[in-house]
Amino acid sequence: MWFPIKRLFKTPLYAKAVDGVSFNLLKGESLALVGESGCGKTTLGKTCLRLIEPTFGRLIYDGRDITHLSGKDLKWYRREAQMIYQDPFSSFNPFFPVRRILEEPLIVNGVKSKEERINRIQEALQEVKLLPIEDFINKFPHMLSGGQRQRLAIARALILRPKFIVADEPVSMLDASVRVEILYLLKELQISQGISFLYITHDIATVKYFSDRMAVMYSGKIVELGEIRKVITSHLHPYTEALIEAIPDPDPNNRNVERKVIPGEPQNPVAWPPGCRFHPRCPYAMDICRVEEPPMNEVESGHQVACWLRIKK
Amino acid sequence: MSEILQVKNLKLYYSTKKGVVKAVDNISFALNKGETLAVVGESGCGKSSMAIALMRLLPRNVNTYQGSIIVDNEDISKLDEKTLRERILWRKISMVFQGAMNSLNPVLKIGFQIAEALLEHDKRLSKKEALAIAKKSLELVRLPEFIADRYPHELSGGMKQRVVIAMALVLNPQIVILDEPTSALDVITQANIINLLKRLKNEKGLSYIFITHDLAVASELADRVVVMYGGKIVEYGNAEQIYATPKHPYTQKLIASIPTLRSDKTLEFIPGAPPDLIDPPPGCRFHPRCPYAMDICRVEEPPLLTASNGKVACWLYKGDIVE
Repeated sequence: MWFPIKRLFKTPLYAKAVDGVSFNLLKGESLALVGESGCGKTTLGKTCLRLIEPTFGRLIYDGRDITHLSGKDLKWYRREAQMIYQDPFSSFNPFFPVRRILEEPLIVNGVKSKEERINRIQEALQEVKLLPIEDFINKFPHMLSGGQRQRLAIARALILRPKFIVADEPVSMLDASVRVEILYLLKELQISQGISFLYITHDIATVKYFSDRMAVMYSGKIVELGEIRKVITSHLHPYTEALIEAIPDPDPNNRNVERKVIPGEPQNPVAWPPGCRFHPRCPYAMDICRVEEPPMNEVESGHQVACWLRIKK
Repeated sequence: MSEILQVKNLKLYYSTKKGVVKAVDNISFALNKGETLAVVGESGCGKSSMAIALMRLLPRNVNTYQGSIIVDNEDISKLDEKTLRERILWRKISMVFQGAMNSLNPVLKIGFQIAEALLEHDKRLSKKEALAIAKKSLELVRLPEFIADRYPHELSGGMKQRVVIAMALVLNPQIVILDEPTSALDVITQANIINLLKRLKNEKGLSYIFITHDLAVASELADRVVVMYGGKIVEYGNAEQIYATPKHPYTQKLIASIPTLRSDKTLEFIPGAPPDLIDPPPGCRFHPRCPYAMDICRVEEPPLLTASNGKVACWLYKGDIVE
């Protein structure tokens, strides 16, 4: 996904937010997408939902090419795929009560009978455990706590019975005690309804409680992809190593040592550095890294990495 | 170790249309020199209110503001506004606010924004001298000198956070209150800032009050931990003890809810919601969510009792407490 930056009388520049990414998501699977802010996670998520039309490449959903759908066909895909946003405080219309928030997508998608709409709303509230339903159905978003709002966001995503949900940092704005509750709820829905999830997050610590595989993104590229336990214990890319090293576990001994941190900050998406995009911050950078971009390489089955260190000559 | 700050029976209530909100309700603790005290708890438990109460940066709707705050054997709560500002705030005790990096003035150069505090506190200082000190303080937070001539929009989030820390340190305070200093940052930037805070503490012998909702991040700095719930302190002790053998059921649950990266455990969550601070539940404020709630918990509030090297406010430990 390249975003044009228009300049007067000059050829446009492109912000290459997502640049040559390939992956597949299995039915009923939860794939985590991890990386720093500005690495293109959210753009990738939105592209998968066709909220943005990709500049190059193809999106295939359930055997069907959805890259350039429009009109009626796109509306079909809108029903199949849904999104949960990061901020439960700003993603609802403050003038709508819970009932109306959940009813809106049903009306738009032509559920005519009022009775059925109410049934579906009650079902959705039941699924996300906003109980008792009568207490919540007439409340406005400001009357709900952060955790309850995020449940409502999940209910809104579920109401059209989608098969694919992109969850963009669904728990990062919540308190620790509520965070786990919401993650467990999502996990339960993934299993009971067979929904595929793309879980976008910057917090690797929460990933293994919800997802099966994880993809690490850096500067618009996927640099490592594999089963979560494998990636955490035997990570292959130096960036993955740095991300994991930066996350503390609750241990009072932490205060006596300094964490090993890589220097620098992510680069400008208009002009990525040549070669491997991570090389200016990489402690193991070699000559080849500065010149040529590493290809994605399957080191063992299901564990891929794009790094020259892992390519045997 | 000597106590650099003592807080006794601090109360901060707000008046609202619905009633009086007891945000900080009778809390007492002490901070030793060169030590980090982490204050943890869910949102809405009164952590930030406690911080602004210490700095006396109160909003307009304050109902009650009571208690003594003793810095270096002097009760600063007795001082009038003017002396407090001239002698104590920013000179002895300073603060890094939550999300402060977004409140830098966008039309002023970084150097001037740091120097402003100096000029305000020392009228004899010339602008040039103040700028020179500002540049020194940038060096302290590991930023190059030329940053002083930049505007906030030219800096990244991590750099802005460093600038805000430099501002808090420019008048050489002994106590720094850090209110969620890393919560808006990326993991790698967060680790960088925490490393910086550790180094500054050792170099300058600072004492920190570190306010956070994240117990994993708290463990990076904390020597001692205060756990707050519903405007009260429920547990207070050494970091080793709080993390290894938490006593209060709330602390136990809170620790059980942190995801860990390197080890496996089943995560728990705390059902229910934090209490309404206008009309808190009678007895122990945690009892509606507590799995061990007994009859007495519903009626009588547990006092903060001294347990083996720490304090805990819970009826469960009434028997084995040495008071």
